[in-house]
Amino acid sequence: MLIPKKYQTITIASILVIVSLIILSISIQRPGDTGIFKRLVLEAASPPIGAVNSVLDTVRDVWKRYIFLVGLEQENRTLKARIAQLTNELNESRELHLEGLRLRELLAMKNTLPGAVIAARVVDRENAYVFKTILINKGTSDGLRVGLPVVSAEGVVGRIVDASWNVSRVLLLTDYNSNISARIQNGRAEGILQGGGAINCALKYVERSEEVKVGDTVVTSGLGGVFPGGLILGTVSRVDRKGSGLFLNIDVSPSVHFSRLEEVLAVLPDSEKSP
Amino acid sequence: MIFYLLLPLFSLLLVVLQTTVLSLFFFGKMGLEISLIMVIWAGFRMDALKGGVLAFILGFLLDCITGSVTGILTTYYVAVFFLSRAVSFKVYSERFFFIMAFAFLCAFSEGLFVAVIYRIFYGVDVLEGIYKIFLIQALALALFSPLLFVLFGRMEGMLNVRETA
Repeated sequence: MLIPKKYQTITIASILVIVSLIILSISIQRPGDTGIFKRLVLEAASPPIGAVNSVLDTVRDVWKRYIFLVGLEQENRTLKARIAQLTNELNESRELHLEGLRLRELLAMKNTLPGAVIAARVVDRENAYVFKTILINKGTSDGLRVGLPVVSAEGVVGRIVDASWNVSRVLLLTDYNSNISARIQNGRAEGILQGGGAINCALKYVERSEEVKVGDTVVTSGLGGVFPGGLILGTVSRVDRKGSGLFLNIDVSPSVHFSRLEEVLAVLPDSEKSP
Repeated sequence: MIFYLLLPLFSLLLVVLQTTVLSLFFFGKMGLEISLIMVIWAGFRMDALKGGVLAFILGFLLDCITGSVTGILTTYYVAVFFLSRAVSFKVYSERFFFIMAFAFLCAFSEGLFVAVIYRIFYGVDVLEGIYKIFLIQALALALFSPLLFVLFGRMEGMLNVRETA
């Protein structure tokens, strides 16, 4: 260079600072004037800025979409939880509604019974092949005792065979040990309804001369003093007149669906009032 | 010679990168002015002519692209370059703590310089509301400055910036 090395730095610095200050003073004096160099820079910078911003916009869009999807997933999870909660509430409401209907039927049943009744809820079922019992949530402290008949809105359920303070066991009329005095509602033929275990019961000791046909309603006769008379036990499902015995072979289908039983009434004798 | 040919393109890309990508780091609230670190680094490493031209071009490009009053950053960058060069003769400038402190001072002074120019020529007090941003920006830049020094050092050979004078 023409300038001595000793003064090179100061010379270059002076030139650059002076040029910068000139640019600055021109710019301050003419604020609205873009100037040729500035225009050139802007034109040159525009494509790379546009390209970078385009890439950034794409990245930003992808990110926003990702965030949106994350939010959507969260919302989906919340809504699913809400649906589960509402389904539970709906089920509870349905259960309450059905319970209300059943209780209404029980109440109607109660009004037809001669004595006082004690309502109880079925808390357990013993559904072995031979033993057919249910457990109810009322016991001696509620006024129940062994031997009391138990009915539902559909008909006779059975009788209490064990009574604790707060729970009682009811022998269903389908149990082999169950024997209930019964009568054909229309023909007035009398017999003993014995439990048949699995499904049907058998109406025994009905004389061959009696007019019994399939579909006849079987009710309690009231004899024996355990069950009041006139309570529905079931319907005749088969009558067998073959054979040489003295009595007919009659199958009876219980009117009560024991597997669906939830509420029952224990019937107190005429002389007693509910506690 | 290749340095002077590459310089405008390199400076333009650096400024574009700084005004687009790097502004995202702080959600567009403030930028990371790596061009200033480049000027300081040039002051420590490059000869007066190459570094001076680099500082001038970077400052001018930034003035044009950021929309500030043309000449403000040009003047400031040239001043910072020669100040850095003068300092590099007096102190050992390779220590990271010194680099950070010097970068912080330069970055914060830039805010003050811009505020003073606006105050004198336009009667506008820009420092009132944004001095905290200047401060945070200067601190952020100071923190990144050692890393940027290492990065620029790697690019030294590529740009052919070794002192030739």
